[in-house]
Amino acid sequence: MSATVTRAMARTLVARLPDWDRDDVAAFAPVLDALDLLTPYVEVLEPGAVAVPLRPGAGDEAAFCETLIDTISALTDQDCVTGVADGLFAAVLAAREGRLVPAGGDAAFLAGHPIDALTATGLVEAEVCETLRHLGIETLGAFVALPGQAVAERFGPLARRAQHLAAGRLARPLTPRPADPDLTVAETPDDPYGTIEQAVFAARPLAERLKTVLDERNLTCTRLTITARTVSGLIRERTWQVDPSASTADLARRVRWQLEGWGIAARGAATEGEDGVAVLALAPGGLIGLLEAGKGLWDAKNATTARAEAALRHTQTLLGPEAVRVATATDGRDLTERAVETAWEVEAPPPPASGPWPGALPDPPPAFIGDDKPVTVLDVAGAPVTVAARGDLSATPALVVSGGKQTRVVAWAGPWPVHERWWSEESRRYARLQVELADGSAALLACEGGQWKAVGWYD
Amino acid sequence: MATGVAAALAAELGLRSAAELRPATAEPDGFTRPAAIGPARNILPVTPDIAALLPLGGLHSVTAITASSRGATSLLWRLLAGPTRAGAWCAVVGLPGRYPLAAAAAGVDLGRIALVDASGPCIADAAGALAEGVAAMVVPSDGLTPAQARRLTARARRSGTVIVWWETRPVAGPDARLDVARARWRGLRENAGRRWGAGRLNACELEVAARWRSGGGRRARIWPYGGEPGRNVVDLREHRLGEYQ
Repeated sequence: MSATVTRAMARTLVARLPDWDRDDVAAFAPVLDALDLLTPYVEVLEPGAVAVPLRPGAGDEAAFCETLIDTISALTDQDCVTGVADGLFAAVLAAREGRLVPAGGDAAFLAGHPIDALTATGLVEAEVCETLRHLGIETLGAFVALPGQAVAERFGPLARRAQHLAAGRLARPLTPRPADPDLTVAETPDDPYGTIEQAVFAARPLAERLKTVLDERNLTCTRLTITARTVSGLIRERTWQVDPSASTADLARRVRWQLEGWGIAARGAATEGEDGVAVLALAPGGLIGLLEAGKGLWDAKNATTARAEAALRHTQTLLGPEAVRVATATDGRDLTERAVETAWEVEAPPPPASGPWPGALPDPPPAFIGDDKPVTVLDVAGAPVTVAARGDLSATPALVVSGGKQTRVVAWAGPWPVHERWWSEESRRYARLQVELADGSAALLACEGGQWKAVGWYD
Repeated sequence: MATGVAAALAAELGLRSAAELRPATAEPDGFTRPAAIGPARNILPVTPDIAALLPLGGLHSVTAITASSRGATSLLWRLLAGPTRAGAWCAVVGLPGRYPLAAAAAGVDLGRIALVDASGPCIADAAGALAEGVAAMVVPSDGLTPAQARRLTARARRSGTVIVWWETRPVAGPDARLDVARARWRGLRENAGRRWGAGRLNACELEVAARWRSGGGRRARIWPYGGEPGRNVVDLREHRLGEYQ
């Protein structure tokens, strides 16, 4: 005696966020976290659309959809539309309308859809749909009715697969999203590390463990978070960019630098000796596959540059990430506006200078930024020189008094008036003057609000 | 696991394995280049006007710039223009208050200059870390004790990092010491009796004296920011600097 057991087909639920307009997978993570509360199996179709497999007979589908919509709107403040059908393609179309297609009703549900819906399979271009429409094939039902061989001959194998999908066959199983594995490695010694050297000694095997864990998964990391917890409960943590091709020795060296950097910071605090390191942990971040990481090596970054960048990162570890700075020329008219210094690899540099700035000082700029101390400009008679409203001086400058020292003006040029952003609150009005003094120095002076300042010194 | 990745990468990039390569043919006359002869490892290319002042025609091991003379900052930026434009990372440790666009005007590629904020004992820490890798670094000599300076020089020589001493205190034995004997500003006029001065500061002429450890020396006029085209202006846009590896 034999019995045939027919397993009921799994059903598919597709949830779409109609207002989702970002193409960013990372921003979608909160929505996925909310979904994880309801179901462990979620496949992300694209940012803003997910598919969930439903077991048949597991409960009321409509009630589950309600719960899902409520959860998402409550936790992420996003509207959500759901559709349930047997196959994924039918469920995607059902999610556009928010419908529950009864079991076995996929073919009938799909048949009524216009032919343009075929693009949702991702197999067929919009032009093919257009051609089909011109041929008089207006609905998916009519497309399914075409002889399969003719479709394959005329439009190729992809259109043939799309025809199968439109007929409600060929439903692929969903692949659930892999959970983020916890790749952090930590070392908890029996006796806390009393000195930095002991912790540094432990860093090498820890880095080796991290590398093994990542290698097993064919991954490598572009960020490394170093965490040290002391006996007294103080937690120090810092994340570093690392080269994806960094070896165990490089990682260990980075940990050593970081620990030494913290040691230097604690030099004055006089806590060393009492407060040992109880837990040392390394967490990888920015995981990428080893294959992509290998491609990065073929970039223009040669060994010398890599070595120089390693040295700069070492300096950052010792003095803090803000200490290594790179200057960029950017938009602006004033000296200080035109040059921006950003912390290297920590802050994003400003956009480069985008166009001509009429009224900006032509090269060469002063080599030193002035200390903004007020100076006095005097004429031959000893009377202060001022800038008139029309942009000329009240008299020929003859002396510059700075810090009680009088220096004769040998040559000068200007003034060049600037009146900027007169339409807004940040409106500024000042005039600039270049002077060469008798002691051989040259300065850039600015007069704002009747007060002269040395804004820069040439050197 | 790792071999699988290597094989996949090799297949994707179309690489051949070493076994498939033809054996290298020996030099026809059996000549092999001895290791001692050949280009020195770390001579950084500099602009042609600076090259005349340096013993090997490029920036090499230890150079000093007398900080107290006027125009020294302009000379420093001109010195670093060549290496940064050739793509070498240069670091300037503990010289605050400099205006970076002056460096750019002298020809420096700002994307390759790291300005390191450091003062007091941190200067020695930073310089020690940088000596492991950057192509050239500028360090104020009064930030280090003479013993620290000697150690740093030895360390930099080992790793091939060029040290440029910003000589706020004399250092012993640099390969070349550059001193601005005279700096002259061009473009400003006397404008006597006027209320609006014509002209603008548009160039600077530095008379630089170089003294070499080998006993020789050179004098040259350097125009870091401009001058008369065809006579003393080095066109950095057209000029191709040497390859730096």
